[in-house]
Order: sequence, then C-alpha cells, then structure tokens
Amino acid sequence: MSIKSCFIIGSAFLSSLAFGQGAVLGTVGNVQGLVTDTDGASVSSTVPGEAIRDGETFVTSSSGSVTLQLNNGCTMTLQPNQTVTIDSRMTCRELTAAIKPAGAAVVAGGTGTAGGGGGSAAMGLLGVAGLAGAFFIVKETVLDKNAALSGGQ
Amino acid sequence: MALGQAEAPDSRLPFAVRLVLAGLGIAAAAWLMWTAVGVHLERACVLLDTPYLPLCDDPADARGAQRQQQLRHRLAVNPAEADSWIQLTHIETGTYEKPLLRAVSALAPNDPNVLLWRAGDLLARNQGPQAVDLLVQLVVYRKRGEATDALARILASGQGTALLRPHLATGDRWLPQVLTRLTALKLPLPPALPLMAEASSSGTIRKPTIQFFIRALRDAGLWSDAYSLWLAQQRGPTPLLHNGRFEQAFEPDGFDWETTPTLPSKAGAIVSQRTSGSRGQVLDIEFTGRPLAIPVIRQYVFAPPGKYLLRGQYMSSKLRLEEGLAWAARCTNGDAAVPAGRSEGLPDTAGSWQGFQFAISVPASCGLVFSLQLETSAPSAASAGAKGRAAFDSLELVRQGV
Repeated sequence: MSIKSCFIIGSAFLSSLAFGQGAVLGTVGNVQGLVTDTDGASVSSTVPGEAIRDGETFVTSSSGSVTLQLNNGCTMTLQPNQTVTIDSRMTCRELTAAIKPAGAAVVAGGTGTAGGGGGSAAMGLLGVAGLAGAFFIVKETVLDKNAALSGGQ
Repeated sequence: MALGQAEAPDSRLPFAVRLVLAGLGIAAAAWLMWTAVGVHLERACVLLDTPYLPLCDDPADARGAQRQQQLRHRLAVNPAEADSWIQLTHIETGTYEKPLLRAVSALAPNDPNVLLWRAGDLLARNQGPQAVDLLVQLVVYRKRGEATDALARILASGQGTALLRPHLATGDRWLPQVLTRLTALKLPLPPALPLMAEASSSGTIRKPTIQFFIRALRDAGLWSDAYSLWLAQQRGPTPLLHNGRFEQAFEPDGFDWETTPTLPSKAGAIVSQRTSGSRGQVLDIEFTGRPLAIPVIRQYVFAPPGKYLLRGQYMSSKLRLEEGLAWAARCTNGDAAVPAGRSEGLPDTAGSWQGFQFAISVPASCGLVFSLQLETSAPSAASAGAKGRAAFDSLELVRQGV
C-alpha cells in the first residue's frame, strides 16, 4: 500500500471523526426526488432514516422535497429548490425561518438566466401547455401533406 | 500482294442498307423505351408500386379539391391503395375525417402517419399513456422527428415522468433523442429530472445520456439539479472537492476537473495525470510558452455559503511565469471578478513538493456552486505564456464554519 493510499484512508477516517461527531439532532423523514446534504467534509444524496447532525446543510433539487424530524419535536419540510443548515442553537421557529431558496438559476459566466423552480401552479399550467403543445405538433404534422407523402410507406 | 493469291470478296453490306438497318434499330429501341416508360409511370404513379421513385408529378403541387380529385381517381383505379387513403384522410377535415381515420387505421394500422394521427387523437382525448406508447414506438422504430418533439414537450410538461416511466426499460432507444430535442427546443429541463434520476438509479440508460443531461442543466445554470443528479451517480458520499488527489481519470460533463478546450497546437498548458513515485497519480501541467487559456484547470464545487479552507501540495520546476500560479475560488452567481478566495502566487520550487493553503469565504450571494480554478497570479501574465512544469496533489477542501 502506497504512502498516498495510507494518507487517503487516514484522512478519510480523520474527516469522518471530525465531521461525523456532530451531535445527532434528528432523523430524515420522507424524501421525494433528489435531495443533497453536506456535513462540511463530504456530500451525499439524502435518504430516509438518515441521521441529522449539527451543522449539516440540506439542499433540495427542483423536484425534490424532504421532511426533517428533529428530536426536540420540530418538524420542517423543505420544498423544491430550498436549503437549510441545521444549527442546534436555533429554535424551531428560527430553523424554519432559516429555510432559504437554493439559489437562482444563473448560467456559468454570469450571463443570462434560465427558468427553474417554478411553483406548482405554474408547473401545472406548463403541464397543460406542454401536452397541448405535443398534441399540436402531432396534429399539424399529420395535416401536413408533405410529411404524409414522405413517410407513407 | 503476292501473285496467285485470290482477293477476298467484299462481304460488307452497301452503306445505304446499313444506314437503313441502323435507323430501324434506333426506331425500335425508341418505341420500346416509350412503351416501357409509360408502363413504368403507370405502375409507379397510378398503382404506386414504386412511389419512392421521383418520376411522378409532385402531388404536393395539387391542392384542396384538385388533390382530393386526384386521390379519388387513384383510388378508383386501385381501391386497395392504402397510401392514397392515408393522404385523403390527412387532407379531409370535414365530416369524413373520423370515418376515414377509422378506415385507414384498419387498412394500414402500422403506417407511421396513421400512428402519428392516432397519437394526436389520443392526446386530444387526454389518453396520455396510450398516446405516449405510440409516440415511443414511432421514435424507436420509425425515427419520426415529430414524435420526438411531442415526447420532449410531454416530458417538459411535468406529467412526463408518470407517462414515460413504463418505457424506461427501452430508454436508451428513445430518451437520448428526446433529451436532445428538449434542449434544442429550449424547453424547461427541471421537469425531466425525476425521470432521469429514476433512469440513472435503475441503470436503464447509458452514462453518456446522463452526462448530456447534466451538461444541459449546468449550461442552463441549474446547478443544484445538475449536482444532485451527478451525486446520485456516485453511489455514495463524495468529498466536497472531488478527485482532489487526481487518482481517477477526469470525467467530462460533471463535477470533476475540467480544462479549457484549446487546440493542442496552440495550447499554452498541457494538462495530464502522471504517476509520481509513492504519491501515485498527480496533476501534471507542462507550460509551452504559448498564451495560456484561463483557467488552466477548474472544478465546479458544490459548497453552501460559509468559510472553507483549501489545502494541497505542489511542485514546480523551471517555472518561468511572472508572479507564479494561483488557485482561486470564483462564484458562478453574482460577481465572479471578485474571488471568494485566492492563494498567494505559487513560485518555482525547484522540483521539491511544498504545501499551500488559503481561506475561502463563500457569501450567500455566491449560490451553491463556485469554480475552483488555477490561474496565473498576475492576470496579465496569461497572455505572455509560461515555461516549465508544475504538479499538484492532495487537494482538499474543508468547511471551517458557517
């Protein structure tokens, strides 16, 4: 085993000691979609039943949500595109207030924006429009004589 | 000519006779060709034996009633000619539209245009699953672009996951095309994330397809979605700084190390991974003296706002670069010109390994991702280029506080 391998294993072990020793403050409840959590040393996909530690940050994707159940009886739910960092010194109300948007969509290089994280109502409208759009694509294509002639056989 | 040899009689026909025979031959050939062309056109354009041959009048020239008349005439000659029924169905928008569709569905159930029409009809009647079933078939077996576009819109509608989930087993045969159209049509990408996450975890689609989608999310600035999908592929926790010891080959379109693309003949820095004794693999950079494309190498790091420390080791030899190299953390959101952290200039170490570290303070305005990148310490030095070699190893990012 090389010196570097030893260093890697040792470092990972020390990191786990350093960041894994945060007090367990609760448990992750229901998880929908992709949710990410970081303890400051590593990042992982959040799974139900996982321990919630002091200082841990949770971030939901545009289609993700997670329920965090703290041992003090506080339960909070992160909706899509939200983030919160768990701080044992905060009250439940403060923690709930600390839930923030997980950042606007900004293209690398700082130019332009892209849509994302729309509310459920907007997504519903988008859904209807999308299906209608799909329908009209098909309908218009079918009515197009040239398309009919080109692929008729 | 020797005496006693008899002259051979001239066996050739007189010129006039030969001319007449040649004329008759040409006339016979012309008559045969004229007859054959007529028969072929009849077969090709009326009976539609070979409608793919460009011999017939362009039917698209005829419009409306004239076209209907043309098709009816064709059907009178050949009542079982499915293509004419299909075309008649397509231009019929009145009372006979539905009956014609039913008839043509029975006559040519697998015709792609009929399938497309039926899919449209099912969508109009809100029968999404059946419509999607037909559309997927059209993409997989018929490569129909209209079906691909329709699926892209369904996927972007937010209802795509439930409708397309049953077809994930064959996802590799239609999902890449649909994702390509999704981005080309500039449709919203987030609604496709749940389906991609399922496809990724079930292993039903190949890695390049997932990488394509991650790149599209990144290009759209949807960093949280891009990172969460990339992370789900890692099958376990990963350090804040991925591949900081350069032991794994760099993977494109994710959150690994990436270089600024330049032509090899014009590259100011040649970046590679090489084995360095007991260190294992290290990052190796050879400077060619040509202008440097900045950043020399970068990694987009997923790190919520807070204070961090980046530490690592480096070595350089015969490095000729004004003020040396520098690592910088630059926000992807907000003002990238002001770094969230930057190392001191890393000068030449004459071939010995040395440690370095610097603090990074990620403000809330920075977003969730910053770019950790290698630059020239003096910005103006990039255009002048550098000579020599540098190597980096054991880079590590740790959080110091919120």
